Amino acid sequence: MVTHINSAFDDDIKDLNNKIAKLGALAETQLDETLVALQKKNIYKFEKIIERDKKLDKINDSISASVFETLALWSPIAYDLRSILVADKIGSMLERIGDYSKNMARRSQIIVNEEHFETLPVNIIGLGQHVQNLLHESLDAYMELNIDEAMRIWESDVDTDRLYLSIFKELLSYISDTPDDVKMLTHMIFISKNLERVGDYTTSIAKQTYFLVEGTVPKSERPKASIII
Amino acid sequence: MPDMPDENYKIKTNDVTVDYGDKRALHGINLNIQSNQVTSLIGPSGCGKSTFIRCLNRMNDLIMGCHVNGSILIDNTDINLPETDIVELRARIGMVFQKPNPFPKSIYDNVAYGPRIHGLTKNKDDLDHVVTKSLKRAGLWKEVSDRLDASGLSLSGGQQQRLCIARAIAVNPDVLLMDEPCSALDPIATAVIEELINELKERYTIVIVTHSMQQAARLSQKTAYFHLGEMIEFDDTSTIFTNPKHEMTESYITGKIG
Ligand SMILES: Nc1ncnc2c1ncn2[C@@H]1O[C@H](COP(=O)(O)OP(=O)(O)OP(=O)(O)O)[C@@H](O)[C@H]1O
Ligand SMILES: [Mg+2]
Repeated sequence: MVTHINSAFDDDIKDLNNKIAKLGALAETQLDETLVALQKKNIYKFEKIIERDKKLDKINDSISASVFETLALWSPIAYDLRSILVADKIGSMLERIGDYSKNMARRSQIIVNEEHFETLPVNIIGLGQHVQNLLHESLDAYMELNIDEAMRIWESDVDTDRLYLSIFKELLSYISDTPDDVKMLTHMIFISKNLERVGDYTTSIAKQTYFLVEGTVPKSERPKASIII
Repeated sequence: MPDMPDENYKIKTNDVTVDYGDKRALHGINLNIQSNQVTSLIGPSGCGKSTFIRCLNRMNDLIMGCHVNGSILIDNTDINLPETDIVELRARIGMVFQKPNPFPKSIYDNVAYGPRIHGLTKNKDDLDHVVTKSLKRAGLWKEVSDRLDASGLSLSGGQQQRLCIARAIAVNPDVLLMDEPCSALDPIATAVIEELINELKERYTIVIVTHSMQQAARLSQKTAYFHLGEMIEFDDTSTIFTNPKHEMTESYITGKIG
């Protein structure tokens, strides 16, 4: 590891990275607990998840404050500058991922409370686990500066899109078959959409990792599934 | 490097080598400098920045045992040819040195010196005007306007440096070489000089040596990184400070040890 002659800068960067790691771990927990509670119909869990979102907001605020201060005090350039800008962006993305989990917890709460809800009619949990893996892998790639892995994640966005699309189509057909369940099914559509959005953020994290290491954004066009049907 | 038609380069150096006695200070430098731009030279102490910049107006001629080889073309003319008129060359290629070196004369005479010997002014009024204007542009006028007869040496270090900048621009050079012109200046005086450099580049070609990375970034369009007498990297300033190609450049500008 190449270190700065003035090691106080390295200490500031280390602090920033620790905050990102903490925020990343919390974002993963929020997503995981939401999916598990939905699957297990654990009605008592959701309030806790919703309440915990404030913690993520707080850490992200503290990341923004550190970024601002580090830029002002050190005037970093080249890799140093990228590392701070990227930390700022990834911090905001993790905070947004937290917001999606909170939103999914709210909707799950409504679904699980429905009298005749038994099990999920579509594989939302499968989509969720796919996105969870992406989140975990994208954070690992970022922490390890692994651009091969980052590129793989960046290009795999199409899989998330396909999974989401098939769930969406299934839910549409359920809505026309059982119009009484429209409220519940609509919440499921939103949950799936939220998961798809979290997937998008994981590819953005991967893209930021590439930019951090290479100083440019990836050139190749990535494959896209058509979301519009 | 973007391809440029040759004639757009104000200064072209080809395989420039400098020796001080048997010690080689520059190893085959090839650097082409565009007109109406600011080019920064950066690099660790002793890497040869001052040596290089001194080649451009033959200041190394004055140093015993210093030998310059290779070709240096300014406006496509080799400045090292024996028929070069050195006085005329140095009027065209002005220089501000790393250490302020005012003449032991009055503030007024320091600035008036160049215009006088080159016969650039018609009369006393004209000369007064050039002296005032140069001192203003160098950001020194307010501090010295009431004591133009005082010795240049009575000024503070930073004031002396601004006096030397006023002296250099008083003759309206084509090319301005500045060796760490702001190292002794406070932030306000630095901003004044930077603004001056920005304005001068519309007409002049400016080469500046600086140890402030932020100054190189703020001022210049092109940056060259020197290390141990070699030019390691030369590129657009924006590239050097966002994404340098060479690891040595990156380590240097971000203050790292490998
Ligand atoms: N007059 C001289 N006689 C002998 N060696 C010299 C002379 N001037 C410079 N050198 C040597 O040439 C090398 C380059 O010196 P130079 O002054 O060009 O460095 P620099 O990049 O301007 O450094 P700094 O940032 O400290 O001003 C150094 O090793 C220096 O010791
Ligand atoms: Mg020097």
